[in-house]
Parts: sequence; structure tokens; C-alpha cells
Amino acid sequence: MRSDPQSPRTGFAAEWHEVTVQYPFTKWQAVGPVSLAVRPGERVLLLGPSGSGKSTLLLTLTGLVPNSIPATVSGDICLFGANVTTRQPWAWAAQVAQYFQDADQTLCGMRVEDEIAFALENRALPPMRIAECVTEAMRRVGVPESWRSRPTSTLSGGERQLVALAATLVQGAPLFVADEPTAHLAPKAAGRLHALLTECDPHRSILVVDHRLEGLIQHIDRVVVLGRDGTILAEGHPRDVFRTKRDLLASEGIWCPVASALDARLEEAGLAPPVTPLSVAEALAHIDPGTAPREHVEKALPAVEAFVAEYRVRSAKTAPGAPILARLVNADCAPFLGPTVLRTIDLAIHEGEVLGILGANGAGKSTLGLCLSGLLPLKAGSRTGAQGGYAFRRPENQFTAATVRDEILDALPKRIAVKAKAECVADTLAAWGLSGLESRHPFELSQGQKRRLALATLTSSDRWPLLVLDEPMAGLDAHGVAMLTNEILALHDSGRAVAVITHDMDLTLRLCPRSVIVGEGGILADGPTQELMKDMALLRRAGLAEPSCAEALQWLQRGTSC
Amino acid sequence: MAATGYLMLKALHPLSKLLVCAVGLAASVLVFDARFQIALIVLTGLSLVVLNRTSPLLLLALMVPFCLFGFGFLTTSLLFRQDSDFATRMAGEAFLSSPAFSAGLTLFLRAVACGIISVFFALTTDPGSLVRALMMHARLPPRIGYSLFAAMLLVPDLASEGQQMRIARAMKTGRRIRRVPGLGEVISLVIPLLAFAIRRAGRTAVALEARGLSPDTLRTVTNAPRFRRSDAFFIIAALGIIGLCVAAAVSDVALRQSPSLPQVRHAYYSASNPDPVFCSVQLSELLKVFAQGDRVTTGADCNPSALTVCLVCPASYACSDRGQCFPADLHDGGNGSLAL
Repeated sequence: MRSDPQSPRTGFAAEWHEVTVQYPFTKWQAVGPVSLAVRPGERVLLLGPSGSGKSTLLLTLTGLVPNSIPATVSGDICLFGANVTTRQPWAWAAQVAQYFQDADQTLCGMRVEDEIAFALENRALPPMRIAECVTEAMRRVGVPESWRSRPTSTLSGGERQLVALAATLVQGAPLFVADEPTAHLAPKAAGRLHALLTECDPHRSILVVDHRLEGLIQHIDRVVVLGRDGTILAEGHPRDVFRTKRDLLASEGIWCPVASALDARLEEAGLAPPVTPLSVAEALAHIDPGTAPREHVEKALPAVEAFVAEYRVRSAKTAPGAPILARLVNADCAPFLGPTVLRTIDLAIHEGEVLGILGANGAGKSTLGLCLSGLLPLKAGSRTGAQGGYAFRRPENQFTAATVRDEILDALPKRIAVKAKAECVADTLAAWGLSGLESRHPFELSQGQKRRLALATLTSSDRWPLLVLDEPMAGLDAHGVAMLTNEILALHDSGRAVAVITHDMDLTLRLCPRSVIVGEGGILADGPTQELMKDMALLRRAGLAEPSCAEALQWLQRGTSC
Repeated sequence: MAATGYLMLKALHPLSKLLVCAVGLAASVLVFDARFQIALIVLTGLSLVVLNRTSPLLLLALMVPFCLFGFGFLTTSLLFRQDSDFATRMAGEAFLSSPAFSAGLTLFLRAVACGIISVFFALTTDPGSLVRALMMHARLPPRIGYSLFAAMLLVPDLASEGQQMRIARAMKTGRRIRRVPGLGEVISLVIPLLAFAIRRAGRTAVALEARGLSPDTLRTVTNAPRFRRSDAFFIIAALGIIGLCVAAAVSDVALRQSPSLPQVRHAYYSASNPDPVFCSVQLSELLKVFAQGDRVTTGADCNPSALTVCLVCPASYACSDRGQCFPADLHDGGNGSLAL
């Protein structure tokens, strides 16, 4: 499938023509054949399930694949009318700014202001001009002045991502390429990033891969959807694609805007919005309780209620008298080799509870999770209760064996018989959708598979009555998130306590009856998630945002009160 | 005042500090004088404590590895020198003034002096500024410079990754994580950390290239430190102090070699050559110079087979008033005097 075949090739900012990519020692093509073009000033969103080759496709754009990352690439790739092979990858930096999935792929280990200045130094711009650009980029992205002289190694993962964004934006390149820029960002920072990406600039083209579509999709000119085989499944304006291809996207496990689900329900009710909505507000605009006919509102009520019900907490609330499984009392928490970031923490988690841990980037959520699980010693205070298991944000850190099978075997109790162990391994792999991957090295798996394997090793035995999951959904496609959500609910049903550290407000609302909001060196709030989500002042203070369904809830309140 | 000094040491150009430290290290290696090494240690330590607000405890802790290193020199010198048997037989003052101890002590102090100079540089210099200064003034290729930056970022990340791996392993084994990893645990982390470092290096290389770092084109270096008057003052003052210390050490040795002092010569004898033979004192071999009436230690180059200290003259030899051995048949009546 070819994108916009009528346009002249020289008029494109970027173009792939019948491009295929195959990595060494693999039997399948990672990408393609793909033909895709991006016009000057166009904002293109690239969607696709995990492993469909989106990141690889972006890396071919300036020749990093195959020049720096070995692979076999066929077909033609052009940038601004010139074949990409005519220059070395570094020579395209003035034309193409690349923001990678992992901030560590962008940052080089300098101080914050030096990181941001790096690309401009490479272009030999005058120092005064560089200083101005750095200050402006920091202001736009929201990097505080106090970070200017800090080494990037002292920043948290989310903070590094902000600096990486500033370091990429400062290039002022006519083509900006971003690979999952919001994967680890708190809602407020993600909103700011989307605003920066999509601010009106007729001379800048944007090509972005992102799973978090709210706040972004309204500003996208064209959506291109890659299938699991690395070819283009669908493309067009978001308003066309997300209505006409809705079922196809859902079956492929590809993220759609939240409004798509509401659009589908309203369509079933015979009240489809006149144009495909890209936000909940758009979906409900034509049935506003204040202006729309009453019968329309009443007809829409069940559809909206059903939509909101999707966001209600699915796990049952913990019984009031449930015993406490683990407790932090007056605890001071600090990361490994770092200063104390949380003070006088009092937090308890009960048996069978699913607890949400929310907060801005760098608030100390991971540190709190590690302390709660008992894996990180406290600086002060005490912890009581059972030892917990921890699923790291980077699942690779959990893998110690050479094969997927051995990872599961290592996690099983030693006393089990060999035959029973083999059966247990097979059952675990099947339960987590990892069958057929037994002999693969854990590092060879896709990101979603790695996360599932990490959780499988933690849940294959009854050793951990408490599990702390650090951003378990980051970077996963819709299928992966749905599967993981069901697994977490199954863990809850089995009586285990689960603490979920996340930036995803919708997920928290669905999974966690109770949440704590971390910020300002302590716990800002602890209570029922639904109540916390209504407190806009608190959410703003903590750098969070209300969940996607908030507008639908408000509509329901107005609709039922009329 | 201290605050100004604190700012001054940190604000000094890294290359001026590098120059002074290099000269200090060279002088420490070349001048074999314990008092010179002590002067270097005291002056450098004081400047860190007073001007850089370095905690004396921190300084002492940082010097522990260098002291251990230097202690190796000291023990080696005491135990494995040719005259060690004799030296270890000596006791008290005689032991402390033995050439082996004296040489070992100087080597020990040299190791400590080199260590404290290195610590001075490390504690007062921002690594990033150093790399930038080297790229700006010493033509360090940017590829190497930014590789150094990446390596600097890697060190704390390696520690963090290693800790996460330890936590993961502790989870699997069901044991509590130890505060300090055991040797076996450290060894088992080497391969995974190496794999992490290789992956990170690959990513960093891609990042550098994607942001336009080229091997040969002209580039701007911003935030590179600039030379100021304070750097000139620091270089002149520091090199002047080092020069004065060197001069004092050298002149002191020269003073001891002066002919105006009582003649100091080594007498040595052997069974095959019973006649007293005199050789000039070699500075490099003279471990301790004695005044008239003191006991003289012969140099190894004079005659190793006859190496001795006068008070323990070989059989059939006597000791002169100057502490020199001479054949007993030259003895003038047994009162131990001999005109040499």
C-alpha cells in the first residue's frame, strides 16, 4: 500500500518507497514493504501493534538503520527530495530531529543545558545564539531553570524525558520525528509535550508514534496504521480512520481515541455525532443537555452510562476489616545511593487490595513502591508485613536466565518435582501468552512479552502475597494492556495485594478502588480513586489530569438532573 | 574568606589545575625526600580543607587506599631489602633510622602525596568542564570527549542497574538483600552489567549521531571554562610553592654534601682486602649522613659483600672514633681510635 501516490516525490519532507527491513539472524522482515510519505508541514501519526516495526521505520529515515544498526534495507528512502544514502546519518541532523522512545537514547551524560545545546554545537552556531535557543527550549518544554546545571544522571526517568524533548526541539528541524514521547510522562507533562508537538508551524512536519492519543489526535492531519506484518493497514484523516476502520483497529490491538468507544455506543443508539469525534467533548456536543432535544438526551443516556461504566473500578473494594499485609510507619524513603525523597510516610496495603500510586515525574513513586515491597531499606521509620515482589519499569532487569523456560523454572519453589515443574512452566507460559517462546532468550522478546514474562515469574509461585507493578502498561498496545489488566484482576481475585504505579488515570480508575497521590516529598492524598479524580485542585497540584471519562460523567450529571 | 576560596578553587580553569597537579606529581616522583613529600601532603590537604571546605574526615577516608598502597612500599622496603635481616634485628631508634625504613617511609609518603594531589584535582574539578576544556584547548576529538561524557553517565547508571538486578535476584531467592554485595554476587553481576553497558553504548552512539556529531566538521563548544587572572595567580603561586619546596630539599642535601662538614667517607674492608679503602659518598646511596663520631653506614655500591655498620665490624676489625671499621692489626693499642 502506498501513501498518496499522486504527489510528486520531490515535494515530500520524507518518503519511504517499497522499503523493507530485515535484521540479521531473523527469518522475518521487521518492516514492509512500506510506501509512505510525509508532506511539508503535515502532522502524521503512525500507529500499530507492538512489534509492527514502527521504531525501525523511523530509524531508517536518516540511515541510522542500516548505517549504525545493522540490517538489510531495500527500497528508496528520501528526505526533502534527496536520497537518504547520499549523506551520513549525522549530516541529516539539521533537517531531522529525532526523539527516541527511551530518553537514554537521546541524552549523552552531560549537564542539562549542555545536553540541550549539543545539537546546535554540532552545527557550529555562535555561542550567543545557542544560549538563547537553550533558554527558549527550556521555557517551552517547562524544564525548570534550577535544573540547568544538574547532570542528567541525577534526574528521574520522566525528568530525563523532558530534557530529551527540549534537546530535540531545540534543533528547530523542519521534520520532527518522535517515538512514543509520552510513554513515561505524567499527564501534565504529556499534555505540554503534545501541545509543543502540535503547535502550528506550517514549515515543520511531524511524524509521531504514540499510544497516548488524548490531546494529540485532534491536531493530527493523517493517521497511518501499520499491521503486525509491517505493512500499512489503513491511512487517512483521523476522523475517517477511527470510524470506518474502528473494528479493524480493535481486532489488531491498536489504540483508538477514547471518544471512538463513545462514538460506537452513540452510533448503536442512533445518535452518532455528525462527524467522527476525536474527544469526548466532541462526541457529546450534539446532545448537550442544555441545548439538545430532551428525547435525544434520554436516548443517549444509556449509551453514555455504558461508556462510563467501562471506566468504573472492576476490582471489588477491600473489605473494611481486611488484614494489613504491609505497612510503612513514619518512613523516610530514598532511592539507592540517593537523597531522601519522601518523608514521614504512613501507608498500609491490605490483603486482596489493588492500590494505585500516582504522581508527577520524579515524585518518588518507584522509591515508595520499592520501600512498600520491602526491597529498599528505609532511611528512617519502620516497615512491617510480608515481603513483596516488584515488577520493574524495565523488565530486563528481572531476567537472570538464558531462556524464557529457565526464567520461570528459577522462580518456582525448589521442592517441586521435576515433572510437576515442567507442567507448571507450560501452564504459566500458556496463561501469560508466552507459549512457543520457551527457548528464546528473554532479551529477544518484544516489550509486551518481556512485561508478561516478568509478571509470570512473579506470579508462578505463591511466594509474593504483595506485588508492586511499576508502570506495567508503558509502551504496550491495546491488546497488551487488555491482557495485563485481566491478569491484574485475576491476581486480585486470587487474594493477592497489588500496588500499581502508573501515570494512566483511566487505568487507575478501572483497576484501583483506592489510590495514593505522591508529591511534594510525601503523600498528598490517600483515598477512593473516584473521589480523588474529582478533586481538580489536587490533580493539578500533583501534575495529574482528570481521566478521559470525566466529561462524560459531567454530561451524565447534567443529563440526569434535567 | 573561606567562601571566596571555595568559589575560587571550583572556578579555576581545569587545565590550570591539571598543570599544577601534573607538576606536583612529577616533583613528588623525582624528589626523594620525605620532608618534601610531607610538605606537599600538608599544603594540599590544608588547601582542600580551608579553601574547598572539604571535610577532613572525607579527606582521610579518600586517602585510605593511597595509604594502603604506600604501606605496601614501606613493608616491601623493610622486608625485602638486601640489608633487611640486619634492619629487622635492630630495634628502637636504630630501626627507625635504618636506611630501609627511611627509604620505605619516603616511598609511602610519595604514594600519599600523589594520592592527595589526585584527590585535590578530582574534588575541585567538574569532569564536564575538564572534557570541554580539553576539547577547546587541547584538541581532544569530540568523539572521544563525548564518549567520556557517556561513560560518566554510565557509572551511576551501572550502580543503579546493578542494584535493581540485586533486588530482582533477592526476590527470586527469597532472601533479604544485603547492604554490601558478597564477592560471588559481584561476580555474577559482571556479565549482565557488561551486557547493559554494551547496549547503552550502542544507544548512546546512535543518539550522538542522530544529533549531528560528526567526526570531522567544525563545531562550537559552549560553556567551556575560560582562563582568568585568578588562574595565572594560582599557577604562579602553586608552582612557586612547589619550586621553593624542591629547592629547600635539594639545597639541604647539597649542604650535607658540603666539604666543610666533617669528612664523611665510607670505609670498607673484606677478607681479601684487609686494607682500609675509602670511597666517596654517593648521594643516591647515602641513606643517612652522620656527623663526626656518629656511626656510619656503608653504601651498597661501595662493596656489597662488605656491607656493614661500623659498630658491628667483621671479626678481626675494630671501630674507629668516627665509627669506621678498620683491621684490628692497625688498632692503636685498643682504644678504638684511628686517624682516617
